Amino acid sequence: MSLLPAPGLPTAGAQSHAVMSGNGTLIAFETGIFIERQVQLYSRGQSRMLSAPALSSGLDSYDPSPTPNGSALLLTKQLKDLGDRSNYRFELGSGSLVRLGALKSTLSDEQPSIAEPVELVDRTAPIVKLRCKAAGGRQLRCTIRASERSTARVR
Amino acid sequence: MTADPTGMSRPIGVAFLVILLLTLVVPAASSAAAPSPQTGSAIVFQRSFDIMYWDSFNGLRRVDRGDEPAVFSNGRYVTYQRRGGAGCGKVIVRDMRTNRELSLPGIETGACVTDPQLSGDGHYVVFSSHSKVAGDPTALYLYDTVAKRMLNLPAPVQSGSTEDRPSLSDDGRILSFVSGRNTSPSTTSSSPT
Repeated sequence: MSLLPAPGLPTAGAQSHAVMSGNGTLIAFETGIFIERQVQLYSRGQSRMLSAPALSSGLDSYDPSPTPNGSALLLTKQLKDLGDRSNYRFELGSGSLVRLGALKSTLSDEQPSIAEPVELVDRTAPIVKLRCKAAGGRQLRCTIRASERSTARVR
Repeated sequence: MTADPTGMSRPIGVAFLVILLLTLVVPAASSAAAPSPQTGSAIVFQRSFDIMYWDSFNGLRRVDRGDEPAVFSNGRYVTYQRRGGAGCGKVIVRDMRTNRELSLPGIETGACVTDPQLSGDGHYVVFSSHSKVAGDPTALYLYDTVAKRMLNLPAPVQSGSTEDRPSLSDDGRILSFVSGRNTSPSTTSSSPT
C-alpha cells in the first residue's frame, strides 16, 4: 500500500468532498465556503486540473460525483435563492451542463451518485387502456393505448 | 378496430371488453415473471431526509430515510448512512433488485460513520469515522462485503490527522480521500487483503 503522486493538484486552500471516478481517472472535489462552493476537476491521466467554467455558474456548486468512466459528472447546484437546489449533469467532452429533468421536484435534491451503463430490469407493469365508442349500426370503434411498446394478441 | 355484435349492443360490448383485457394482461404478467435486463442509467440522491433511486426504466422510488447515498457501478447496490436514535450514522448497503439490506456483521466501529462508498465491484465498503487512536480525529475504515469483516487500513492512509471522504476505484485498488495532513497531494494505491 503506497501513496501515489498527484502532480498538478493544488494544495492551497481547503478541499473537501473528493470523489473519484470508478476507473480512477478523474477526481472531483469542492473548494470554497458554504453558499460559495465550487466544484473542481483533476485528471489523474493528464496530471492537471481541468477547466470547467460552467461549473462556476450560480450561487453554490457541490456534491460532485463522476460517472464510472469519468466522462461526465453529477453535482448539486443552487442557482438562485435558498431551497432551489437541484442535481445537474456536466459533460466533460462538450462542457454542457443540464438539469436532471427526470428528477425535477419542488424539494431540494442533493448528493447525487450515478452508475452507467447498467443492466436494468424493467419492473414497471405496462398500463393498457381500452376505449370503445359506438360507431353506428352494430359496430364499436375501440382504441388501445399502452404505456410502453409491447406485443399482444387481440381476439 | 371494430366489433360486430349480433345481439344488444351494451352486454356484448362488456363481454368484448373483458376478453380483450384478459388477452392483453396475460402477456404482460408473463413478461413480469421473467423480466429481461436492458441497459440504462441509475442515479441515487438525497431528497430532504430520504434516499431516492431513479433508473431509466422504472423511474423514481424512495429507498429509505438516510444521508450520503452512493450507487455501486452496476446500479444494483446502494450504500448510505442511516442515523440512529443518537443521531449516529450506520452504514447500510441495499440490494435494489430485492430491496433488502445486506447483512454486514462486524462493520460497527462504535462511533458515528459518514461518507460510505462502495467499490465498483461491490467487494468493499469504505467509510470514515472517529479514530480509535487518541488524538487522531477521524480515520478511514474498509469492510469486505464478501468475507464479512473489517480490513486494516494502516499508514500511509491514516496519518493522525483528519481523513475523510474516501472513494474507491471500481477494482478496489485505488483509494482517494481528503486528508488534513501537511504533505503533497496524492491518492493511495491499495490491495486490500
